[in-house]
Amino acid sequence: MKLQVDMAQDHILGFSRSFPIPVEALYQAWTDPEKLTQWWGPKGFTLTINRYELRIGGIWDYILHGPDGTDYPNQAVFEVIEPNRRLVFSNIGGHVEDAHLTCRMVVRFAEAAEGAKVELRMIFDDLVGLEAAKARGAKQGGEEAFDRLAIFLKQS
Amino acid sequence: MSTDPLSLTLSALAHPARRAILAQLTTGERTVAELGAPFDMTGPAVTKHLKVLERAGLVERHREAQKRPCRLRAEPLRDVFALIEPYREFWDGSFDRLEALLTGEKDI
Repeated sequence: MKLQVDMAQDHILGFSRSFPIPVEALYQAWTDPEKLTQWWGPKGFTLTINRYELRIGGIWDYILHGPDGTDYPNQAVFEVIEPNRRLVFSNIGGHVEDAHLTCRMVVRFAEAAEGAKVELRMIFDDLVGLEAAKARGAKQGGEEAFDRLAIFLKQS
Repeated sequence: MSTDPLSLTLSALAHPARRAILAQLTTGERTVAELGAPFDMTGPAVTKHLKVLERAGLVERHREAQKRPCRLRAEPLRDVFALIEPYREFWDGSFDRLEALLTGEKDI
């Protein structure tokens, strides 16, 4: 099933996707460190969890290892833990292909017709500021980016 | 509020009516009336949104033609894509692995 992307405000990125499995299994995959190490991060990345404390104020200390050997250290603090409904944590640090993962993550879980749905919002203090610091140029070619934007706009 | 180009683009995009206007313009030029018609939006409402889009450099209007049709400009959008893309890749890749993990387990 397809990843939905949205941008309700200029400092919030939203992503959602449905899975053909029960919401309890989906939530467990997000909160069981053994499961997290098997999926958190894009293809080619691996995850080391140094610390995982699933409680309010608890710390999740982890390192994403990139396919080229680059390490991206991250630290998250849990703020809200509602089993099978909502998970909120603040994440600091890390780079993912030059992007920062420093933001508050608000994750909602719900049953859906096809099984379960996860909706997450990345709330940045200053998304544009991060971008300027990276000084990243547009990598995609003109027409391809255009077509993808058309799809993105029509889904919104 | 920040007035750098990327911030203006993001603010312009962060409104569903403006995204709807841009979506229409991806298939060609439109007049103000044509833009408002599918949504029952009045001329002044469309014009208000067009001003924001013009300021962000996302839309151009013909100066000479009588109805001043609007045209989409792609350049600021490439910067937005550059911004969003790494995050989209992160979650697309992660969720693919998540699905494989969870649906693989089902078969055990």
